[in-house]
Order: sequence, then C-alpha cells, then structure tokens
Amino acid sequence: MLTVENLVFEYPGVRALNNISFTIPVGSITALVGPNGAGKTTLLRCLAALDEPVSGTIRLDNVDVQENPRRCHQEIGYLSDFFGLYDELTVEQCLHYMAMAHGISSDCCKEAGLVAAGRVGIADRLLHKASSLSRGLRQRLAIAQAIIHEPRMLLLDEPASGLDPEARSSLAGLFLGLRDQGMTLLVSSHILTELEEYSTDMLILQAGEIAGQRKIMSHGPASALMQISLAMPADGLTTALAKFPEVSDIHLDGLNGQFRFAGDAEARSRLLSHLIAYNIPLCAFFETKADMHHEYLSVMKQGRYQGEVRQ
Amino acid sequence: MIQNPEFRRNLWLELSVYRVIGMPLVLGALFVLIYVLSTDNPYQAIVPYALTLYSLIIFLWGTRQSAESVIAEVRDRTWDQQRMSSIGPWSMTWAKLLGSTIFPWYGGLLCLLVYTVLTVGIPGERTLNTVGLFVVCGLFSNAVALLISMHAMKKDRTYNRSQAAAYLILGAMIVGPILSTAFKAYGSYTWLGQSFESRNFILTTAALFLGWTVIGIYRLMRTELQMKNGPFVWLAFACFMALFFSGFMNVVDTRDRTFDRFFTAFLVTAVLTYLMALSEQKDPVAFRRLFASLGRKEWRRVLQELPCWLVTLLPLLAAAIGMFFTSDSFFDPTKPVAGVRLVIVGACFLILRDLGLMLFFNLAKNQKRADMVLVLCLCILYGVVPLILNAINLDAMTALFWPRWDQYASLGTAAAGAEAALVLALVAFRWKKQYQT
Repeated sequence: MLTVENLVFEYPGVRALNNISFTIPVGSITALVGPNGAGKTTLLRCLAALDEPVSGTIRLDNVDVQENPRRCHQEIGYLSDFFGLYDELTVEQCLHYMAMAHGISSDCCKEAGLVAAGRVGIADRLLHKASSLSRGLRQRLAIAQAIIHEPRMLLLDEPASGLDPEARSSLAGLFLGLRDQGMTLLVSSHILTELEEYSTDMLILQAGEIAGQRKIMSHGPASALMQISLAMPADGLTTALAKFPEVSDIHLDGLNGQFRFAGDAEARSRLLSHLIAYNIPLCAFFETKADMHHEYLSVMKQGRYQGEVRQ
Repeated sequence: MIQNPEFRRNLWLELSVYRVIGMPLVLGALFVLIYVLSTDNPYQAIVPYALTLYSLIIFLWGTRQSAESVIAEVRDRTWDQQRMSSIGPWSMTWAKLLGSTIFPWYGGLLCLLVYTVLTVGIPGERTLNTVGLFVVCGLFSNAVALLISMHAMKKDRTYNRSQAAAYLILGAMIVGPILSTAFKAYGSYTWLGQSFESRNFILTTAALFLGWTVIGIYRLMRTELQMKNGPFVWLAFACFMALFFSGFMNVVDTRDRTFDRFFTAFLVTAVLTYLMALSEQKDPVAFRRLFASLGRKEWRRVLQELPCWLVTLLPLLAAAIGMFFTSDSFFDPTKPVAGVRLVIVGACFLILRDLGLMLFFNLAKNQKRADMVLVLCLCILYGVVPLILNAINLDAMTALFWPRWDQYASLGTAAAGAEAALVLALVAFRWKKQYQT
C-alpha cells in the first residue's frame, strides 16, 4: 500500500503540492486526474523518489521513500510523460540493459527481457532498433523497461498521449493484465474515457490539493456496481437490500439507486427475486460502471465552489 | 568491469566492429603519411605527432564525450531511468567517465603506444613519465568536464550546445598549464620545505587533482541518485587546497613565512567560497529544508543540507584567525600590526557582505539572473566606485569599499561591518517577507 501524508512540494515561489494525503490500495489501478498544472507530474515524481518534497512522508508498505529512495526504486516502476529510449540499441539490448541496471543477474537478463517484451506484446520486435519503432511500440518498450524488475508499484504519466485509439485500447488491456499479475498502478491522464476502461479508483488533484478520491469499480472481479430504478417510491428498499451480505455502498436518490454487489450471477438472481418478493416496484436492475467524467466534473465544480467560498 | 550495465551499454554504442577496425586504420594512415613526408629520421618525426594526435583525440573529443555523458541523457530523457536503476553512484561514475570516452581512449592509447615504441630506451625521453602524465592529464581533462557539466546541471537541467562547448573548453584548458609546466620544468620544486623532482611532482599533483575530481563526480552522482552527502569531504578538499597552495610559501630568507601560509590559505578558501557561491544552486526551498531540519534539531540532516559555500567559511575563518595571530610576521614589516589585523577583520566582513548580497538577490521572486546581478554588483563595488572616488580625489572614501592598510583601516573595517550587518538584515527581511509561512 502506498501512503502519502501531508506532502508539500515547492518550486521556487510556487507551491505545487499543498499538504496532500491519500492512500493507494494494493492491487488497484488509480486514475490520477486533474487540470493542467494541478501537480500530477510533480506528485508522480515525488512518489518515484525522483524529486524531494519540502515536507511530508511517502510510504510504500511502511518503507519511507525519502529515507530509502534507492530501495524504493527497486519496488517502483516509472514511465515519464516525455520518456526517452536508446534509439541506437535494439529492443533486446534496451531490455537487457534495463534488466542489468536493475540488478537482475546476467544469466537471467535475457529471460527477463523476453518476459517483459512478451507482457507488452513486442516479443516479435526484439531485433528491431528502438528508433525504428512506431509511437505505440515505443510506448510499449518504455513500459517493458519500467516493469522489467517486476515492481510492486507502477507509476505512469500520460501513458496514452499521442497514441491512436487502437493502441490506447490495447494499452488498457495491458494495464488490466499487469494489475491481475499483482501490480498496483497509478496512471495520470487527461483522457477520462480511456481511464474508465481500466481504473478501479480515481484521485482528483486540483491546484496542488486533493479535490477528491473515488472508487470507480471494485478491485475484485466478483464485485459490481449495480443500478436500480423504481416505478414509484418504496420505503423498504434499503432494508431489503441490507439483508444481503453481498450488498454494500447503497446510495439512493429518489427513484434511482446504486449499490455494490459482490456476488455471482446466481446470487444476483436471488437478490432480484428477493426484491420483487419484498414488493419493491422495480422497473430496471442492471450492472453499470461509475461515470468518471460525471464524477470528475462534479468534484471539480465542488472544488471551485469551495475555493470561491474560501475567497 | 564488463558487468557494469552502463559501461556495457557504452561499449555497445561506442565500440562497433567498424569503429574498432577503422580507428587503427585511420591513425596508421596518418603515421605513414608523416613517415613518407619526413626527410631525415622519419621514425623520430612521428613522435611529436603521436602526442599531438593523442591530445586532439583525448583532450578535445574525449572531453566533449565526457562533458555530454550525463547532460545528453537529460536531454534525451533517459536520465530518470538511470536514476531509478540499481546502479550505484560509484559504478555510474566510472562507467560514465570511461564508458562515454572508450572510443577516444582506444585511439588515444594507440597513439601513446606508437610514442612508447618509438621513444623507449632513448636517453632523455623519460617515456614512462610522459605516458603517465598524458594519461593522467587526459583522464583529468575528461573528469573536469564531466564534473562541471554535472555541477551546472544542478542549477539548470536544460541542454545547451554552447554550454556543452564551454565544459569542453574548460576541461581541455585545465590540463594546458599542467602539461606546459611539466615540459618546461627542470630541477625541483620545494613544497612544505621538502624538495621534489619537478616532473614527478607535477605527475603526482595531477593524479591527486584527478582523484579529487573523481570524488567530486561521485558525490554529484550520489545526489543525482537521491542520496545525501555530508559536508566533510568538501571540507577536506578545501583544507587540501589551502594546504597545497600554502605549501609553496617556503622560507627564502630568515623571515617567518607562517603568515604567508595563512594568507595563501585565506585566499584559496575565499576563491572557493566565491566559486561555490556563484555556481551552486541557491534554492530557497533547500534553505527552508535546512531551517526545518535545524528547528527539529536533526543535525545529520542539517549537515547534509549545508551548501558548500557555507562549509568553506569554516577553513576561511580558521585561516583568518591564523593570519590575525601571526600578523607580526606580515610581509611588509613597516605596516602596524593593529592595522593589519583591522584589514583582516574588514576582509571577513566584506566576504560576509558579498555572501549576503548573493542570498539577497537569490531570494528575490525572479532569481533567474541573480548570480549575474551579483557579479555586476561586485564589479561596481570593488572596481567602478573606488575608481571614480580615486579620480575625483576622494581617495579616503575608497576605504568604504576596499580593505586598506593605512590610517583609514579602522574606517574601512567599521564600514565593512556596517555593510555586512545591513545586507544581512535585508536578507532576513526578504526571507521573512517571501518565504516564511
């Protein structure tokens, strides 16, 4: 788990991060969103122990990142928004070099390179020079370099910028695959629709402060966000739902409601029968996804409103 | 050696088969050309050319390669990957220094091989000493360029071609005086009262300075890898420099030279203080971190956050105290001891004032050209204004800007003290206004 407490970062004359605190759960893919200049890149660089904050603590599984930056570098993979590659080296050499640079024994470097290349789908390009790769493939090579040492935490700054829709879609698949293999990801991006495809959590940064942190989907594959609609108001709905241990996070708003359901299809069928038996006038019952765009805009609006109130 | 990933990457990039074959062919062709163009003793005609080619390859090409070895990584946005790798600072230091220059060194060593083969056994040639001197100077030149480029990178990470050229020129220039002194020097040097054979002394000195330069690169590499440095190595270097240069103040007559030694040490440490004050990053955020550590009484962190210019004040002050108490052996016995002592105190106040000015300009909201403004300000304070005062027959007033030995010594010291106090008050005011939250 990554825990950030009271983090402050300043550039001369500018406070880029203002006393922020948050936690990134293990096994999540957290979307780091916010307007330009909100401090996303600065935050990622602090988390990667590349820049030193003025104050505050960052802990990766109780290891202080500032006190042990070199140790944390072994646990963290980082891909910058403007990354570079060694253009004159082949894909295989790039990966071999990064494997060696991360302390993987020379006997295992080739294999580690092959595994990383396979994970990002560039195993067929090993003998190509990095300079000859397309934008999407360069991005994949950069990600392969960042994950070659099997980091527990992967920080990605605008990984999809400049990619075509197909490449973006395959990137989403790649991130979900890495998550399933045990990595925790923090992805900064402006493209909310793309983030919706794979994010489990959303962290909103505005003017160097945390404007909100939301759960988008459960980390477990069995949990789903359910949407229900009623034909007319029903008093017993909350009571009826609460009887099921698989139900959590119930939010009702007039004739509509949302809740999380951690059961399989059979359990879902039982819940539906139960609600009907309870005389709940259901007119819709389906699985949905949180609308990140809507959530983001509402948090930003709220942030602006609070900013105005403070002024 | 080959297991160092950064060194291996450089081998992949720098030593391709074509290059390995091409270098001896090109050099061989040049030597054959010299051989056929020489009229008498063609083998001996090659000797100076071998050293010239070595100099061109190592001092120019190698130094450029070395100067760019880290800043080019920053420019190409690959440096963060290296910073996040598990390559240690020492491995990174030597891999950058020797890896980036491996191809020039391949050519340079071939030239030295030719020189050795043609001169070994010839009386008066001192082949081994010359080879040692050229190798050490080559490494020194490369190391200095890398050190300066990394030091400058702390202030500004943007790659600038003209800046890179400046590092190359500085690196190449630094070995010029060493080599020319070595080849002109006959006889011996007296250092700290001991006599040393001149060329061996120069070779040892160059090797020592190379060692310090490599230590400097290692320390900068540590900070790049987010590791902290204490102040003691820099302190040791400042003391070494003070001792090294004051060692040349030898007894030439019956006069005690202790004051001269302290004076030299004072000058050397003052130069180091100004050099670091101008070249180090003066980040208000770092100062705030320093004050925060002081407030929390985290002494280890305090020592790690201390800027080098501040650390150098310690040996500077020690040298000043030494001068103060040995001022009865001042090199001009006609000067009153009290006057000499006042000048020493005044000089310390002026250094304090200048450092205060440096802080004042660097704590401004727009501190982009702060160091340039400081240099300009110092030129006006130490040069232009005293010259104007002198020209309009207000010579006594120059005591306000320069330490003076004459009857105005006390006025000068009092003025320097007042200036230092005023500037430091301004610094405190600006700090409180802009950075204290």
